[in-house]
Amino acid sequence: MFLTRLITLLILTIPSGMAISATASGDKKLADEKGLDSVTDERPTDEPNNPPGNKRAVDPSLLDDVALRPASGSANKWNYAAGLNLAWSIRNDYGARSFRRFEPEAVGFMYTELPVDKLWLRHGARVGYSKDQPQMPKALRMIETDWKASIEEAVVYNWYVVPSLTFGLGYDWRRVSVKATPPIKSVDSRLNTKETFMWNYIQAGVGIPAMKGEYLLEPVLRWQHLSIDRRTNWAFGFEMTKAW
Amino acid sequence: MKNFINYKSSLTRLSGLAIAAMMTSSCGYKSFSAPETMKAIVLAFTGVDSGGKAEFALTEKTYRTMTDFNNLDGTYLNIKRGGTLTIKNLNGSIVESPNFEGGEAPALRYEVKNGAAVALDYSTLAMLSAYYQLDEIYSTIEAKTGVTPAALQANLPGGKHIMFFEPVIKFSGQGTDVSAGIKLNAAFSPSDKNFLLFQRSPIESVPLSGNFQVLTHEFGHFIFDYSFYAGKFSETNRWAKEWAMSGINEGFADFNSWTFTDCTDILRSSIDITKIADERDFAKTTFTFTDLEGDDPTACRGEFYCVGSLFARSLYQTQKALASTVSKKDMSNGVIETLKKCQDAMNAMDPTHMPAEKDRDPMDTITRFDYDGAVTSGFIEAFIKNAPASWKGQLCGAFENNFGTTGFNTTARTAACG
Repeated sequence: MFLTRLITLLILTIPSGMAISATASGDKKLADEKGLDSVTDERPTDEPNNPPGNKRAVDPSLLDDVALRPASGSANKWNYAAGLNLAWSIRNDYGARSFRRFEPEAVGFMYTELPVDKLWLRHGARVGYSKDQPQMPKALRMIETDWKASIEEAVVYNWYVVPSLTFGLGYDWRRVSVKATPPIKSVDSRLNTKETFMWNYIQAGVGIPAMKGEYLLEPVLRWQHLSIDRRTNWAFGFEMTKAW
Repeated sequence: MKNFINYKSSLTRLSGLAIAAMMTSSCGYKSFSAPETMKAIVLAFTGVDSGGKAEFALTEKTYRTMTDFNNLDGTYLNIKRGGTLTIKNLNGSIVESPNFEGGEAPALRYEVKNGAAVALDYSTLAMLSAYYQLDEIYSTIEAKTGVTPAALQANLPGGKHIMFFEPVIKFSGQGTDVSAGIKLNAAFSPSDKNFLLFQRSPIESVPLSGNFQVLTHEFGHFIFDYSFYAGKFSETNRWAKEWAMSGINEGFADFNSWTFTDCTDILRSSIDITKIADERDFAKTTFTFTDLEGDDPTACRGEFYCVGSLFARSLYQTQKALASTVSKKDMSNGVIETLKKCQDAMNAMDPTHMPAEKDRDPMDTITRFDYDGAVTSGFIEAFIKNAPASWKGQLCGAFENNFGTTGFNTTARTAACG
C-alpha cells in the first residue's frame, strides 16, 4: 500500500523537477543563441517575489545582514541546498522516563517560488541513521539500528528569519540484534529480527540565514509517526544547510 | 516566460497533490495480536553449574497463570509500566508507605514467530520475562514449599499482585517529594503486597527484572509477611521497626530463593561486584554475629543483611544435616509454619528474654550491638521452641555457631535448647 503511494508521489514530483531543470537549461540555451550573457527576467518589476535572484534570496528590500538576499549575476531561479540535521528523538524507553536518541540526518533541498509574496516551496529528501541505545544491563542488550529515508514538501516564508512547515513521508528499516553474555548461555535466534515500517512527520522550523542566505541554520521541532512504534512521537534538531 | 509560468503553476498543483498524499497516509499504529497459546521468548533460569553459579537462557516458555497477554494480566499478577511511586523509605528491599499514581498498560511490541511472542525491544523483553518469573513461582510454589497459591492469594488485596515496571521513584518527607534515580534494585511492598522493579542499570549483569533468583528472594518477603506477620504487616508493628528483624526477613528471603533455585549465590548473576556478592553467598561466608560488632565491621558491610545471611546459613546447614529425613520442601514448609507462631511468642516474652522496644539510633556502638543481639536471641528462642522437635538439635548447633553468645545468648539457649 505504502509502496504504491510512494511510487505515485515520485511520479508526480520528479517530472516537475525535471521540468524545472528543463526550463532553466532552456533559458540558458536561449541566452546562448541570442549571444546574451544572461537571460533577462521579463516579469513585471513590481511583483515583490520576482526580482532576479540567486541562492534562496528573494526580496531585495530586506536588510543586508539578516535576510536571504539575491546575489548579482545571472538569473538562476532554481535553488538547491544540502546539509545535515543534528536530531534527537524523544523515546519512551524506560517505564516512566524518556530517552533522547541521537538520529543524525543528511538533507537535500530544492526551492521554488510560489505566486504569493515571500512564500517558497521547498522539496526535500532526507536520509537518517541511528544506533544510539538506552541504558541496558551488561549481560543482555537489544540493539536497535535504524536507517530512515523520506521525501518531503515544505512551505517556507522568506523574512528576517525563515519559518517553515514541512510534511514528510518515508520508510524506516530497523534491525534488532540481541547481545547476551554469561551467565546467559543461549539466545533463541528468533530474537534477532528486522522490521520495515512507515515514517511520516510534520516539522516546524525557524531558519536563521547567514552570509546572505548561503547558509541556513534551522532549529526544528518534529511530530512523527512510526507505524509500529508508539515509543516516540517528538523529535527536535538543528539543520545546517548550504545553498548553491 | 509563458512556459515558465505554466511550469510553475503545474509544480504548485503537483506539490499540493504530494502534500495531500502525505496527509492521507495511514496514521494508525499496528496492533499486536497475542499468540494463540500464551508463549513467549523470555529470560529464564536454567540451573546451577558445577561451581554453584546460576545459568540463564533466552528461550521459549509457556505462561500458566496468564489470562490477558497484551496487558500482562493473570490470576496472580498484573504488570503496570511507568507511573510515579512515592515512598517514605526503602529499607533494604522493603518499601515503606507506598503511594502509587499513574501507570500504564505495558504497551508491548512483539512479533509472533512459530507461535511464540518475540520481543522487538528491551522493555518488552524485560516485562515478558518479569511476568514469567512470578508465573513460574506460583506454578511451582506448592511443590517447593508446601504452601498453596490459594493460601497466599487470600492475603492479596484485589486477589493479585501488581508489579510496577520502572516507575519514577519519589521519597516523601516534610511536604516535599524528591525524585530518586534509584536503580540496581527490586523491592516488595508488604503493606499492599506489590512488587517494584527499578529502572535498569548498565552495572547490572543479568537484568534484575528477569532474574529468577532475585524475584524468588522478593517473593520470600511476601511469604515472610504471610507467615510471621500473618499477612497483616504494619509499619507501626514493633518487629517491623527492629533492625535485627529486618535482617531476619532478608535472610528468610535468601533462604526462599535457595529453596526454588538450589543456589545460595543470590546476587552475583545480577550484581557482579565481588565484595557485595561474596557477603550474600550464605553457604560460603564464615563470619559470625560476633564479627558484626563495631561501627564498620570489615567481615560484612551489608548492615542488617549480614544478620540475614546468618539466619539463612543456619537454616541451610540444618537442612543439609537432616537431608536424609527432611527434604528441602519439608524444611521450607516447616520454617514457614514455625514463623507463623513466632510473633505471638516474642510478644509474650518478658524483658529477660526479649528487651523492651528502644530506639537504637542514639545508642553507642556497644549498647546497640548488645541490644540487637538480645532481639535476635529472643527471636531464635521463639523459633527453636516452635520448630519441629526433630530439628531442635541441629537448629541449636547451627544458631550457636553462627550467632555466638551475643546473638544467641545464654538465656535464650537455655530456654530453647536446654
